[in-house]
Amino acid sequence: MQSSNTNNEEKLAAGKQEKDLGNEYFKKGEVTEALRHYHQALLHLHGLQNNKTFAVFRKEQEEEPKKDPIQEEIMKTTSVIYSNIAACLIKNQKWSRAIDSANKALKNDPDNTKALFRRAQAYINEGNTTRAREDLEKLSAKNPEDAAVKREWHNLRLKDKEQDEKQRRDLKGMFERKWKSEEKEEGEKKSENKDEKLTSTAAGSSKTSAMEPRFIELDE
Amino acid sequence: MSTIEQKKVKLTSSEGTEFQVERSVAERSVLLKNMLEDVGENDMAIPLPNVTGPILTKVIDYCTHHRNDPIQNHDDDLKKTSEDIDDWDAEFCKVDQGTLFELILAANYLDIKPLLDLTCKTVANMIKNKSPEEIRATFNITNDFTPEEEEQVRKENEWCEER
Repeated sequence: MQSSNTNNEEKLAAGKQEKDLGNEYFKKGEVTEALRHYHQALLHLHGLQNNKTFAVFRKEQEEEPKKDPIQEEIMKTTSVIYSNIAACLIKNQKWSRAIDSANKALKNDPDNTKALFRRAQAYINEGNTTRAREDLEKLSAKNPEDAAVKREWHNLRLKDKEQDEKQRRDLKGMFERKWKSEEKEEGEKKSENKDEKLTSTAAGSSKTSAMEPRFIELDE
Repeated sequence: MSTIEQKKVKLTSSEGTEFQVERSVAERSVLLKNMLEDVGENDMAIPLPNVTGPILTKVIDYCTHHRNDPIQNHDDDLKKTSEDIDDWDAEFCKVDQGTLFELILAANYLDIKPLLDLTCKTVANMIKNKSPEEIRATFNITNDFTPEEEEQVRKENEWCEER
């Protein structure tokens, strides 16, 4: 495997080209095509990020400069690609894959605010309100007046409320069942049917409604 | 999972050689698994610009042999030692050093954790129980320490040598 910097430069250029294609498709609303190009961009760039780990294996053990600008750009670009993949996956409502991609974006560039924002969105929709809150707090600390962040705070509160209500319903169902079963011991057989009906309506209304994802402009 | 004939996934190595593998084989690579999951099956070949044909052939061998292994959870790394290499895997790693190191890079690139573990363990076993001189000989490393420096290093590491 060649390891010269020009080689990395070529791969960076190829990766960026695929990323730009992905952005074009995303803007046209062709999410799957966009995803394909983002993934192809990663196929150029993946494995080049932590060059230093594997530097020992390379034939020419050239001392790597402390801050290689190409290396940094590779990491930044990789972060943007993962973040844009997260945007696509949010559109497709694939929350856990979106979180996974946002995590990778943040690993390559911890300051990628959009990736953090997308992770928060995915957490909210997935129902992980604790993690969502942590991310939104970080975002609010950075940009206290950001309208999109405020909107997600609102969505988080809605989700919280929804979960509270569901829990209350579930608990209520549980107590009722207990009460009914006590009643049954006294010889009431009919209550069984009634009980079933009660719990099934509770389960039916607890369907979680997926929120429309917003804030999906891409990084260039 | 299915026993019905799976759709083939096409992969192209850096020189442009095309390989066809079953999806379950390709999915040993987390990089490819994520891609296939997000994009779906497609007749288009997936280009792998960072892997050469001969190395990709080896990687596909490995993935085919291990296609039905349970997916390894990165948290159950508890009992990891360099000794638990089975016969097939040991045979697989009997390659020249250059190939072994390229396999490490490919496993890292394609994100195939068990292959990365295996190849790194193999290297670890090449280092294990060897003196610095023997290690230098194994990996063809020139000694660039001055005798004074070497003495210094030896002193600093005395505590870990003889027990």
